[in-house]
Amino acid sequence: MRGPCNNTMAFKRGFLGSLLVSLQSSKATMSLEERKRAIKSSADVAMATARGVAGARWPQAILSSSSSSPSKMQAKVKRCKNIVRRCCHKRRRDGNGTSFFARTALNRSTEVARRLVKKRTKVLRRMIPGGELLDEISLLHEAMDYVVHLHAEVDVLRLVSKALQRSNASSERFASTAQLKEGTVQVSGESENPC
Amino acid sequence: MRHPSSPLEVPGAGGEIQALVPVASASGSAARSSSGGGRSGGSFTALLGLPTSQAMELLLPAAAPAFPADPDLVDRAARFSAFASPSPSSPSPTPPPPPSSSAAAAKRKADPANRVSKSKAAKKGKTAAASGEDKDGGGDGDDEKPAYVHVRARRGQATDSHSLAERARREKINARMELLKELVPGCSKVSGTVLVLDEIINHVQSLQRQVEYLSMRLAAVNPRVDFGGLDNFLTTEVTWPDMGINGARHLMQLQQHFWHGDLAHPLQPPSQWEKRADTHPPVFSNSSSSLFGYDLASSGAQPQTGKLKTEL
Repeated sequence: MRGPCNNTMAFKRGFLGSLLVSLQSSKATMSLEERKRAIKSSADVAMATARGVAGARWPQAILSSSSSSPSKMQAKVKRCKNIVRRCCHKRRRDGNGTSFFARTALNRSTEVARRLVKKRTKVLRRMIPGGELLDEISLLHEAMDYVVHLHAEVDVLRLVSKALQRSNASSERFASTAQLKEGTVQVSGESENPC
Repeated sequence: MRHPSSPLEVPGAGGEIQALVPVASASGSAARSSSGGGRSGGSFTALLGLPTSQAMELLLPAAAPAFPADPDLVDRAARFSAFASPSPSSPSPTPPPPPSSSAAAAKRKADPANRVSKSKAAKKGKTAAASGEDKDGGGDGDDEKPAYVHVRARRGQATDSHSLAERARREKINARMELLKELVPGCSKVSGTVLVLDEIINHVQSLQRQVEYLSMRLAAVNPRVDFGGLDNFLTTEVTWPDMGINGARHLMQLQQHFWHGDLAHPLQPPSQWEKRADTHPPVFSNSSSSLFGYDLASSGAQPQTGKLKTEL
């Protein structure tokens, strides 16, 4: 499986780079909760930028939701999003209400199954960034893409935290940067293997 | 719907999905060879029902030119063309038409412009014996690569465009579900849309929770470590793929905005942070690098999952 290995490695490396950059600029004055939230969101942004905008919708959704703007613009953006969401809901309801099979479905179980599927797709839409506006087929496609990149992100984060803990545990005073370098070298070395 | 944005531009994206394809087509061809023998000229969807190589076609329209390189289909196409040339009504129509029609149908599906239209044969009807000759006629025109996908209606089902479009849509959805099932671990045994969706949702939730937990750990470890020396390391050893100058600048901007807090609390001035930090429960002070942080993360994630469960 060399093909996916190379692409995943490229993504992982890009993600790692962006993550380290964001960790560098962290301040010590923030509390744990805020730092965790900021790390998480910067990890999301790093994932989105490492992925690139072409070929999927979720990176753009993450980037657009995280790009800073004054409060007025943000209110406008939220209103626009609500309008679009309402239009999508209306279109979906109208389209599904008069669907051929809903009219002629005699089987109760299919109706129940369809209702459950709809609930699940609603939940999935909420979890995947930018999934509110997609139709079912592209939603599944996006979910696939997102899952693959989440896998890679979790791997990288785990290796980074392991390396950091190792460097912390051994010696805290001198050559912490040197140990971090070793750790990250190990990180990129280890992440090659599971491929 | 999905605009055909060229998947070849981003090797990352296409690579991920193409990665699954070698696995999928291997299993798909195995399934095809096993089921092709035991089939008795059933319906179109049963023939199409294979597989993930079909799913590959749906997902990567750019791979259509590479399609005929598939050895099995080339074999069947050769057999089919050899069969079609002598006479349309041969003594034993049943064994070759299923594989040939699968080849023909599969070739038709490979067209990037997937539009469903009623074929003339579909209007007539549906038994396999009768369909043999019709498929020959349809198959001869296959060399010109028609722009339509000719869908054969199943026996006893309506043939108007709504149901056909619905069926094509469902085929696409099922194809993608197959691929998703291979991605998500533990999903291959489960059958049925709802359960697969359940598994997918659980998997995504667990992945997101893991990301939260790991970022909490990173945040806990962070203050003691000095990241300043990593700059040289990054610029020399780690390459920045797909970023370019603009991407890097964009990223730096975003990072600065994060750490200045526009992002975490967009509507609150930074002066309120100190107050919030003071009113934080003292619990946080203990969670430097222990599993206690995990409990916090899980409890933080629980109200969310609780909400989701009640909504379900």
